[in-house]
Amino acid sequence: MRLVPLLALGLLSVLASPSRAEDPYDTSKRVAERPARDVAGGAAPLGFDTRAEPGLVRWHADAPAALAAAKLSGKPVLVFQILGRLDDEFC
Amino acid sequence: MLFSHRELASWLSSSFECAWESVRDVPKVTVDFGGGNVVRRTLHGNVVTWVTDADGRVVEALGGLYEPGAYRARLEQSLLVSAMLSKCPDGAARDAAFADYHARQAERIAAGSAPLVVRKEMDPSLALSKMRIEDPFKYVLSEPGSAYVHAGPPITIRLAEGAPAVFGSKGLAEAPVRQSVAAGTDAPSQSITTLGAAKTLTERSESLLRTPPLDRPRPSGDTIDAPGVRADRGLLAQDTAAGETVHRPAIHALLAKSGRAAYTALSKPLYRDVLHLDLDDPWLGLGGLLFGTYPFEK
Repeated sequence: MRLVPLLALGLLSVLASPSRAEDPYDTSKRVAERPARDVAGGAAPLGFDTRAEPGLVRWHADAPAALAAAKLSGKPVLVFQILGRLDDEFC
Repeated sequence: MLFSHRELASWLSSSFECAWESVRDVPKVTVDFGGGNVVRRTLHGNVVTWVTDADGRVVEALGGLYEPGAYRARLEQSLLVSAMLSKCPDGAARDAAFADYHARQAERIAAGSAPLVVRKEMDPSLALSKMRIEDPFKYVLSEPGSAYVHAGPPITIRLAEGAPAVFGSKGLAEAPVRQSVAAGTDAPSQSITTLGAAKTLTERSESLLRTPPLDRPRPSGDTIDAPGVRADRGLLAQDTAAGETVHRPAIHALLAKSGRAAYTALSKPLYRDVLHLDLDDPWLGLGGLLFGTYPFEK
């Protein structure tokens, strides 16, 4: 019976915690739903986060960096030109 | 994605200094079916692969998408072209060799012949003592199909009777375009099956063939009428065929005319004249179609 006050105290502390007060969503729902503030704040809606890995090639940051590296390595430069971005799913 | 192909990505990273760049935003089309059902895809995108020297002057260019084996074969050739140009004694000789290479390739492919290949051969004119300090090789532009020496030990595989020949990466570059495109390098599981005529592949090519194919058939079942491509082959095979038979001669002709210019200066002309995609046009040439006969809302 001594445990009852301790459990009640623990429950109260959880309910009163700042994070809980700011975020009323339970975690199970968050898997399927997104907090409204994220959507209203301009975050991409589900299914439209289009970032992607640009493959397994070791890419330089840009073509000038590749050209600079080629002056040191003696290798030719490969520049892949694309409409859109290679690190975007929609490219 | 082509660059997610592990073998190819590793080879590209070790052979070139690689960078990608965007030439403009890609047009996207969104269809809202209602009820939260929205589909989105890109429209009218296209790519160009430039191989340049360290000053950004073009050596070779590939228009459109390629199958991994064909892509590597073309880029292996571009390495040899690059080495051939670097052996020229001065800039004027380099310019002349560049123009000659691209002009001859444009003429041959336009005439329906297989492109020439650059071969790396031991230079017999160099004395043995000089070979220690100088590159002992020379790079020769020659007819395809003649004997060549590959780097690794051959691997013998067996092809099904009647199956199309499968070439190694070097062999692919040297085979006639239409034959190589139709050969089916992205479908090795169908070709390398039972007893039949023995063919040899290099180790590197075999590893490329082992990986799962990237190609997929067009969902509608339709095919593009590209020369030398079997009707049941997928989109990537047809893109490869278009790249080799349609875009390639036009690119060689463009480069023969432009000379060894910076790739940045050639980007717009290549997109416009070869890929028919004017980067300066905000509607990418589709304005008449979109607004001329059907009132799409801007």
